[in-house]
Amino acid sequence: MRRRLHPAASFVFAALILLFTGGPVLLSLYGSLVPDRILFSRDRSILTEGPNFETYRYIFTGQLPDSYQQESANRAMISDAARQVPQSLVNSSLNALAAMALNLILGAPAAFVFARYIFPGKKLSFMYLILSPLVPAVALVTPIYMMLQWFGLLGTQLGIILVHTAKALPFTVLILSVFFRKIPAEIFEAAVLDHCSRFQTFFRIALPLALPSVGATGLFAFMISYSEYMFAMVLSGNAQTRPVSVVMAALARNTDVSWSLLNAGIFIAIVPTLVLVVLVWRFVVEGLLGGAVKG
Amino acid sequence: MASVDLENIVKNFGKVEAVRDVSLSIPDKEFVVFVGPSGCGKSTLLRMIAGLEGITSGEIRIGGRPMSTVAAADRGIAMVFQSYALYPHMNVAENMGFALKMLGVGKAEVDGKVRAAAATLQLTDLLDRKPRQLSGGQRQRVAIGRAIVRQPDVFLFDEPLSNLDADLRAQMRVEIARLHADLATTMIYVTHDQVEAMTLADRIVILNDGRIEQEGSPLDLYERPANRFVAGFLGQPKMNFQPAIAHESGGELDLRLGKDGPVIVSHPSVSGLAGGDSVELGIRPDAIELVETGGLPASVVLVERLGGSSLLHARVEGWRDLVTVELPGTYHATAGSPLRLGIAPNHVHLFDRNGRTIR
Repeated sequence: MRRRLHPAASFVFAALILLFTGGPVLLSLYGSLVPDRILFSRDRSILTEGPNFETYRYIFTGQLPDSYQQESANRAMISDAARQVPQSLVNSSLNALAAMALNLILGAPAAFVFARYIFPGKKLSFMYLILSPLVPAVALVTPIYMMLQWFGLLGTQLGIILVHTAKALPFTVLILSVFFRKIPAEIFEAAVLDHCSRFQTFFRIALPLALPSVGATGLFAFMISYSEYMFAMVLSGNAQTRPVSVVMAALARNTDVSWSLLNAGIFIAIVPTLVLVVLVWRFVVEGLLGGAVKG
Repeated sequence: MASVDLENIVKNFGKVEAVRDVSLSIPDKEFVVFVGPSGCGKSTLLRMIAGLEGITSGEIRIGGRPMSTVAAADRGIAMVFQSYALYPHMNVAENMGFALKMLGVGKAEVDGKVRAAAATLQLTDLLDRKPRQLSGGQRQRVAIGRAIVRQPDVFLFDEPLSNLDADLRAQMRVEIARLHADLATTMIYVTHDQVEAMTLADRIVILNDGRIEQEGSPLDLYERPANRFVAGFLGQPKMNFQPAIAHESGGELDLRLGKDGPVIVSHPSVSGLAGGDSVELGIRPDAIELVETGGLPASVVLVERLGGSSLLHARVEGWRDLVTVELPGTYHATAGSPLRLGIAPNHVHLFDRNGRTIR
């Protein structure tokens, strides 16, 4: 275990990882900034032509890119699904934020109880929770569709939020309960002696200590909801409530679609996740390292 | 200020009996130390007094009030944990004032009490620090400060010094003793370190296997142990033990190695002994001296020089174990060199077949 990787080797590994993670993001950014004819041209590039924001202009304002305004242009390449991207981003962000909040509100107390208390049926319910993600989502689409129909939630964002919450909840509970279990029991006993009720022990002691993990699991729940496609497609209604994953699929299904437009849509869809990761990740890593170093 | 009474306390963890029928009265303002080997039930007993652990049967009274229905927080106790159990996300002042804050005491009053406690423990400069920015000794002082701020009737200490290095432990031992003198509050202290027990306690309770072996003042236990376990547990270096047989001839009693073996101790000052009895001899290392003539012939195995005194480990012909002798000053001897050990008859402890002291 003492042997460490040669610096050059770790550099190569890091570069490979960056290539596979950052590469597609950069490609989509590049592809969105140049018109299709330049993307496929050997002689011209963004360096000779400069960046072109026409596809972004189309997505946000509906004004067609100049090249498509000519008489003979193939307008079929401009899918109007792209026009739904901004609204779908708002929808997806709302969905994901709500799913994240619900996950933490429901999952953190549940994880605390699983970690610290003994109650009848604890083992069974925990097993159920942990094993439930093993059921293929496809198998659940029909029953869940019928359930939401029964509740009158089809085509609403609330329906999608509830399903996404349920999808991420097992992970939230598992990750947080592992963390809560790692906090020494004596700290909670001290809290009991210091006149804390169970709720106060949770809110004043356990939760503040778990903030890094809470941040990480929240982010995880956000991402699960943000990228989820199958339930979103089946359960979402009209363009007003459609989440971004569904819109992107519609955009990509159009075989004639302009590459530039598709890339612009993709890049716009990535942005909220990037922002969230940058905001939360630093905090999460700092918190985790702080906990590890402290004796 | 309160007395603590334990009456026939039993605690079972499933089929394991952790505490078996313990009864004990601790008067107000006494400093009692529970001491015993790992797993003897001393921490469990303390946690039951604190209310952190239920009792299987028996009754606990604090200040005369039965505690069976009283929640841990309302028992008028404060506990100092082995791991300190400070809240990592709160600074020192918040840690110390937390219990009062939870009780709804006003901010100014909490602040005053925290500052007063911090002053006694020299923590005033550290009030804004987080626990992770403190050394082990400072954390321990904060944990004690947190207990002081609550002004409890009874302080409970659960092996509070075992995570500290030797120097700091000696220093904190003095501070805790001073604290008891200043606060004049009942304190119950759990440790496996007999030096802490001997130096801190008004009264030591020695536990073994869930039972009280003996209770009494430190010197009383040291000088008059009730049984072999207590005799072997207290004292550093440990007591020497050797089986022997009582031999009587013409009204004169002596203890011999075997039936007709050499005499180890002549005329032991005990009454409950008859000729032919098998006994176990217990001799403290400081009750043996080197003599020119007479005594037991022995040979040096090893000498540990501690500075102020020396520990001589010697082999005595026919004895089961090496004999440890504590000698004042610095003693020089090479391994194998012969010497003679003299044992004062009135410093010998005798134990019967069941380990009980013969007086």
